[in-house]
Amino acid sequence: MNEPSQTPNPSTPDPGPADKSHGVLYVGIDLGTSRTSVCASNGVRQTLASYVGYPKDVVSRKALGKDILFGQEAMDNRLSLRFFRPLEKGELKGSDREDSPEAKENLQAARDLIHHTIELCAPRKDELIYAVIGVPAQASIHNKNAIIEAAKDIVDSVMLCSEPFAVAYSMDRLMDVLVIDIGAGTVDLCRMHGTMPEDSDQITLYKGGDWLDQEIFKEFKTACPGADFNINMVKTIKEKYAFVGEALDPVLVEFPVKGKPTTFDVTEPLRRACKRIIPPMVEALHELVASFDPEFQERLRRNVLLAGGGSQIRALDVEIEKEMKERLGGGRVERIEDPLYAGANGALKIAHDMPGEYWQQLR
Amino acid sequence: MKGKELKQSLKEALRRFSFRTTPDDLKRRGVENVHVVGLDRIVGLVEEAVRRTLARSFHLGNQGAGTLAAGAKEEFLKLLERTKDLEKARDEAERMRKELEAQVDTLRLRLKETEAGLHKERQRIKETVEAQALLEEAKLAEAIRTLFRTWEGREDLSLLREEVVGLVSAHVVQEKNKALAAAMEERDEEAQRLRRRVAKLASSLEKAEEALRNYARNGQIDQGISSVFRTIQGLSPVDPEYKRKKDVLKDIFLSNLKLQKGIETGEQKP
Repeated sequence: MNEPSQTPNPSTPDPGPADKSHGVLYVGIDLGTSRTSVCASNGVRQTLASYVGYPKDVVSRKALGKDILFGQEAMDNRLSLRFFRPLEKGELKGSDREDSPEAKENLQAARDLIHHTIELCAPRKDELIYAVIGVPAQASIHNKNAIIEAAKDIVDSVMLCSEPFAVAYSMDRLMDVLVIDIGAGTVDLCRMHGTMPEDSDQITLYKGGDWLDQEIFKEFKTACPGADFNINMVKTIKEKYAFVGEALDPVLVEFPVKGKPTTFDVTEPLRRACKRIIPPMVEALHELVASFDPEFQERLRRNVLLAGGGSQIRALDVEIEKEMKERLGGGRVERIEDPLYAGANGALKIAHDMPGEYWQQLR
Repeated sequence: MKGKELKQSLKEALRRFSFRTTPDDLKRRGVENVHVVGLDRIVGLVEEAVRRTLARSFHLGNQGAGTLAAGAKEEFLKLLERTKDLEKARDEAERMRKELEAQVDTLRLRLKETEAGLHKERQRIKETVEAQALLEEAKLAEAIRTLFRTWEGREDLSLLREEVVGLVSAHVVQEKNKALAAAMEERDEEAQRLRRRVAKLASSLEKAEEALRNYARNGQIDQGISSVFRTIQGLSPVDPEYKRKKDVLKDIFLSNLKLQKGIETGEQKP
């Protein structure tokens, strides 16, 4: 690999006279399967569901008054739209089959989502935009290429970094920390030891929020006979009530039974399903701790950070600690304060700290 | 849900109504140090301040203050919803303006072409009708003269012959003008129709432009939010983790360089 020079690389095309002379807007993006969050150096912080929709026909175009809808608005109008959730299991759908129509459509949806995310930052036209995008720890090369291609035509320079690393960077905790980033598509575990994590430092599990939705759905099907509900309704209930450990109050939900709203107590089925997320996570955690330098294993066990949307499952930190006590003899789990934006904040911080000549070389 | 919406809306409102400046501007004004308060913190403080003021000013208990605060929240959200509607209307007006401009341009072109065509057609019709009329006139005159020649020898008929020829000629001229007017009127109707359409579209365009001017005057059209950084930044040399961070940033850059140069040369494409 080339040593980065301290002056712009002569082989890099000169970007030309700066018509973007007003300033530099740094943008950090957490491109998630379920939610995309963005933080920018002009103070903007936004988050939206990672949904994109295009009106199906002229009639829906006229009724909706837009060519593309994003986030919750797309979800709410999905019946009138060609509806896309361009990421699945932390990857762009079809990024391994670039020429398939599905891949092309999803790539376009991802491109539009990234464009929209940048637009949410309200950048000035005369500012340079330098973006860092957080991607799953073990995203494939195809996936990374697709994300870079999607971003390149709207930002002046873009870099990718692993999501759990961005979380650790946002908290200035780069030494002997183990980050568990629970997303909708994946659960990424990454141990930090002061340098860039390598493949052996990271484990990606595909039992994230979407998988949990399915598990809850199955539990509800058994526990709520005759009830009519879909996966979106389950997702909404999960986001509101998901918990492990002791229930503070019974979880009562209303589902229609033959058209009549009926109340069901789903406390136990919800707890049972949510608990299933813990064993694979602790198993992977065990693997990362056990393969770490024995002198520092204790420190790693005591510095587990819980991030991502899934970290909002009530009492998850406590239950993981219990499981760690059984398997690893103890440990301390800390839930980060701002799970929705921690990844984007970290990406923004990386963007800010990145030397100017590095950005220049990637333009 | 309302609480979340309110927080989001408050943040948007704070951003919209906040004063923008840059570190350079502040330095010029002699400001050396600034206190930075996060948007979340401000939103939280505003919410709490409203709740406490209501409780204190109206001697309300927590529940009463809560009810009033909920009402105020709802009104605030309605106001912001109205702003959203205005923004939607602005986008619609902008789209309409573009469509109308395109239509007006097309119609103006068509009108110009039609008017040029009309002028040519008028000339052609006039010439054709006149030539036809002259021919008809000559034919008719000759026919009448032939008729009268058969009556030659009768002295009292010469005066009558001239009077008949004159009368018929006048009739032919009249008929010619009628035919010409009818042909012209048909072409004029199309031009008039196009003129009316252009006028209507121009008026709609003017209204759309006026609406956009109003939005701009009211500050609805934003030029974007300036970054707090005027120049490219970088890792601060006084950062306690400077060395470690410098190394990891270099690693991130190198892996991106490899990835992106690969994209450019197509090396990593399947």
